[in-house]
Amino acid sequence: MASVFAKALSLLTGTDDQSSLLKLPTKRPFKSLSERELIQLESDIGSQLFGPIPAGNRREFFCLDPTTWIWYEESTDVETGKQKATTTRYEIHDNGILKAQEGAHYSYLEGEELRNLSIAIQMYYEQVARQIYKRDPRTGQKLA
Amino acid sequence: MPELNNEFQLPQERIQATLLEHGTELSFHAASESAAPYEQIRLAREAVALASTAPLEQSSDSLQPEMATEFVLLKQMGANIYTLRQRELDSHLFNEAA
Repeated sequence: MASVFAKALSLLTGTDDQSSLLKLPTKRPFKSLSERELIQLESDIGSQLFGPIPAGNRREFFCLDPTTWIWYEESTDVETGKQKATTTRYEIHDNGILKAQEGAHYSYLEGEELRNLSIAIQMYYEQVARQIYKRDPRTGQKLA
Repeated sequence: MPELNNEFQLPQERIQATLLEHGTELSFHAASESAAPYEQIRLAREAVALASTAPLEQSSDSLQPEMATEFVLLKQMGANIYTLRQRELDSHLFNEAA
């Protein structure tokens, strides 16, 4: 479990120069992007699926691997001024979605949280397939 | 969808090269497991739609048996995204090596 969180955190807080994201070549958009940069592009879409992000907060939501989804939320406590970051890992299993947070117990999602995550994953898939990888999410065919 | 299947079935050596280049511990979604992934999604979607009117058979292994088909759908979506991403990375290596 620790290695998955470590990988997720390195993807979230890597020190690679992200200015290259602003200089995408037009002929082949992802020619020089790393895995982390592709995930960051996906997360830019994923983070917007849950509504507006409060000012001063940072949110990431992305697919880490075929069965793992990562939610990362960073906020500042208004009273203490301290930064608080929470990383949540969601594992998709055949019999449910397991939620795991560092230092917390595992639990299967239920109710509204389960529905919301399911909808978010479907929206993420639709938008990322189209906007990042230029594929029709229903057929897999290249978009014109 | 012949084009799709061909593109998703990457040679093993290129997959390994991608994994080594990017230092990932993640296992690549095997081509045999991703056969016709979009067809699976289409079928899963139809099953999810049907589930709203005809509840699925109860399973003692499933915590939310009425959502079992939806979990399959979500897994397939994650697998497809992961495959698209890895293929994008793999194409960089292929182009750079050429």
